[in-house]
Amino acid sequence: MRPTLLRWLAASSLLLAATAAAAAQHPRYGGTLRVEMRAAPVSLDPTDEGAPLEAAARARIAPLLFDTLFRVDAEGRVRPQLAEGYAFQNENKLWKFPIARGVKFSDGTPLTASDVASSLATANPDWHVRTEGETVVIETDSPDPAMLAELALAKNAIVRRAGNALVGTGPFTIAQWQPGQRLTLKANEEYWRGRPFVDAVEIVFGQSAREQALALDLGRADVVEVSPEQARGDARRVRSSEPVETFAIVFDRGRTDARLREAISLAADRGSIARGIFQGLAEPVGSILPQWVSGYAFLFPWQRDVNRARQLREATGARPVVLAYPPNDGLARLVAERVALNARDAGIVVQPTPGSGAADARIVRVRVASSDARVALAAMAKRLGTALPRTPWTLEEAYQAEDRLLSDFAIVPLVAARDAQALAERVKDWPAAQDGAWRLQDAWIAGAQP
Amino acid sequence: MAPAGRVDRGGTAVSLRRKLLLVIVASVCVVVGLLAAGAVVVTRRTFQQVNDARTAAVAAQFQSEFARRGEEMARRVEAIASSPEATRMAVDLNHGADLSGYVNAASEIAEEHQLGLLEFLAADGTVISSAQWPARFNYKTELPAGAPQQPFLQAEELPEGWTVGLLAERAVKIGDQSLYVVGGQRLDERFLASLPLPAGTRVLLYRKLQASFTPQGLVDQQGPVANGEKLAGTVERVLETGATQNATIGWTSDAADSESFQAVPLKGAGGEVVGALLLGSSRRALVESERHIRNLGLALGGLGILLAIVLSGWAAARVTRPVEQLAEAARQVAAGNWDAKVEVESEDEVGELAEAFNRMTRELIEHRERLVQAERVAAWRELARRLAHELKNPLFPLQITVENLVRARETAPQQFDEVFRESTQTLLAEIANLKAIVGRFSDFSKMPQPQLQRVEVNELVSGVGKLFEPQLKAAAKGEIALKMELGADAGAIEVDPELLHRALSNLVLNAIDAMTGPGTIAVRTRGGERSAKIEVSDTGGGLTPEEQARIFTPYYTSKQHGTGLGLAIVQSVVSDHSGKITVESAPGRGTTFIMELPRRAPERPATSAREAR
Repeated sequence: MRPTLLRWLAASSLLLAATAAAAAQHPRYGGTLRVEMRAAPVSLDPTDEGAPLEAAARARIAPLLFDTLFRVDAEGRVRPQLAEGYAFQNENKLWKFPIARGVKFSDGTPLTASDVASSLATANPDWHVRTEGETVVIETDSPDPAMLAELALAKNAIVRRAGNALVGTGPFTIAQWQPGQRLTLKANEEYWRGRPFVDAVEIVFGQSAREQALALDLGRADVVEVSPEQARGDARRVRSSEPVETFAIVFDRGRTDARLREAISLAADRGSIARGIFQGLAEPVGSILPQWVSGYAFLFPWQRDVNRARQLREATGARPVVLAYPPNDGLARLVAERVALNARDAGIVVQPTPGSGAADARIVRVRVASSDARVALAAMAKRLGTALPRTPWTLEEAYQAEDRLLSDFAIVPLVAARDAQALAERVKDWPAAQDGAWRLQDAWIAGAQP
Repeated sequence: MAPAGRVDRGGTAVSLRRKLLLVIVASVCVVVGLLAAGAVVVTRRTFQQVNDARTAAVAAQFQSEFARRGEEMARRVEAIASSPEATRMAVDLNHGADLSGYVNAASEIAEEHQLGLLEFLAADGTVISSAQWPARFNYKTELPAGAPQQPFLQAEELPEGWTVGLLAERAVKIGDQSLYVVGGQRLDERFLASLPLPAGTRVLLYRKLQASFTPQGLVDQQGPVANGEKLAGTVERVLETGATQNATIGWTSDAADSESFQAVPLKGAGGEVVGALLLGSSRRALVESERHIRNLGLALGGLGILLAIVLSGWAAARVTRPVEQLAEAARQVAAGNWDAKVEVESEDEVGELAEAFNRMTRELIEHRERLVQAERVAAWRELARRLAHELKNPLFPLQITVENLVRARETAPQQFDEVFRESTQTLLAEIANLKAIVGRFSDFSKMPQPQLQRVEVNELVSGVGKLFEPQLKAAAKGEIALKMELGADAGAIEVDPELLHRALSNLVLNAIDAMTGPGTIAVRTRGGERSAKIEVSDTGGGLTPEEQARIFTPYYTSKQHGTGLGLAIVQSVVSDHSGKITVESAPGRGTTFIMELPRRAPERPATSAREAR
């Protein structure tokens, strides 16, 4: 008896423990996810570009409110979303996209091809967009082989603009919006892909890294950004993406000599920048596109060669180089100061200065807009001030285009930084996206009450 | 002649009253000025003493505050060196681990301990983490010399340039390796703003950013100092000598905006000068006090001058009025009014002077009367002598003739008739001579009043010349030439032509008489704006100075025969025409008489001088 009883008790305990564990891992509806971020966007319109920090914030928020015709999955593959499929003709100049049926905007009105065409035409003025029944037809002047990846960009999210109001088909709707301060989203109960787990998301903008960390420690926030200076030794749960933001020096070709630019590139100690300033949340790069996007980044060297840099400097003279960095951007400032210190080793005087006025060079940070190397390169090159003549057709073309972009050292990539977030313990199933996107519809909160 | 009480110096006349006024006013100004200057000097000295005391107090306060802050820095650095974070860093350093994870540690720890400067350094000076320059990790810097235990000043390089820090250093030794913690505070405007300062003072800090002075290195509590380059010389002297310097800086054209500075060198751990502390005291209070005193002095001076003008005018009037009366009386005496008197109102020196003047005029009148009397007696004596002389000559022949008549009547009656006839002729001749003599004396006493009319000088002179020409040519003593030199500018004059003709004739006759043999008589005329001159020269024997002095005296003559009235008549005529006559002569060189006659006769006095006499 006693052995049987003991066995029963043991079996019961194991069963209870297993049940509890299963209950703890099972998604639950309800709760409010509290998020804090440093950016302070004053607009939620995904077509707005603006400052890089605010544009990145908008790109993160856009998938919560709006859907795109196509999306990039966690593996970086382009998948249909609002489009049921696609067809192209005329050497990739004409694309047709039948619209998914039964999709509704958050205000209950059905999504139509006209809505999609209107939204895309607003985001892409050089496209010729029309409808054929419930099919959206896009014509471009030049072949666009990366059309599907472009349609997955946040700026091509389908938005219906009613006055100042923005209405989307995304998993959340806007409950309260205080530009630059606070955004409250509530779950879209009628979301066509299923209601998100959390009831609401509260985003507080304009919070410094220290304020965010404090909020997380005090339990006032569930998700905060992690700056490099806070990354090391942090016991909290940190989720980081692949490198999604490239820091580069963009020289003014008219004010600087190519050899001097090359000397500064060779003098830059990218490894120290990545390890020290970014605390490992960045990789040293010699290319614009990070390795995970292009696959060919290793072909662009980034190793330091001070002796060669000194030789080039001696051949060009010792004119000081004014290196500007965005005001209030601490990371960019540190990068600029490190570049100046490195350049001093080669006898080059680089003067870091905040501001966007006349300068010989600027520290520019540009986000990887797409996991498609062709689309990403075109978008990033445009952000870096040197637009490509057309979107590359193939990866090889992308490599050649990037090689040309970097050949005269007017653009000197330094590091590619990762996005990192710290999560509270109660946040579960935070999606690990390569591109750092927030797909909050998949996350849920432990202990939340519906 | 200048009025009494005035001094004529090239046309500038300053009255005694004005002189007195100027002296009194100048005295008031000098006294007020000296008092004001003395007050300014005393004020400035007092201010300087106060300023020195205040500067010394500020300097002592700064030193005290500096020491206190240094101790505070040392405590904080000690706390950091004792912290688990520093220990962990030292352990990793000792184990040769990757230290890049500590890059941001200094910033966080510095913020936690409220330090503006903090660095963790390896023994070779490699920066493990830097709060003030986070990007400098893995670069080497210099550790403070001599591992100072006390707080010290050191120049610190920052991305934006150099600064000066008040630092403390502590070492954390784990195993073979030591980790150095160097932390402190920047000496900048915030540091200065935290110093308690008395009103009217301020502290400037110069950080030696470069070898030479740079305005960016100079800050006060508010930040960079405007026009900081004005302190360049003072700062450079401090940096060069390492000694305290003093200077006064004028920031604007207003002296009240100036400041007195005492520049104290700031030295690092090795004794090198890393900056300077400038303790400034506003001079506004001093300048405004000086201005106040000066304005007060000016006001008092102005008031004093006004009072001086009034009082000195009154006093000068009291002093100068008798003097002016004296001057007026003197002018009247000079004009011939010998009866002029000064009223004596005081018994002081001026009263004595007035009394002396009155006494002098009385004595002058008495002396003149005695002189006139003496002259009159002398004239009568001379007249008697001349009369006796003149009358004796004809009387003697008369007497001889009458005696001859008597003798002839007694001794030779037959020849009496002839003798009578001859004697009668002689008697008549001598009687005629006597009548002539009497007539000349009569003529002199009957000089008529001039009947003025406008006469051409040259015409009149020519007439006299023509009259005498025959006589001169037929002179017994030999021919006498008459040389007429008539100036074209002689012009016309208002004279009595008959009297002038007579006077001129007398001069020519006098010249003829003066020559004992052949010679030349020159008659010249020339004119000026207000007068005309007629000169009559001879080549005779000339006159001695004694003769020249008496030659116009009536009845004086140097000739054997003459009444001595010729030249007296000439002088009388010239005098009646308000002219004057002078004589130039020397023995053996001839004589020249010069008549100067006014072109227009002045208003004739009621009684001529001759008649007055």
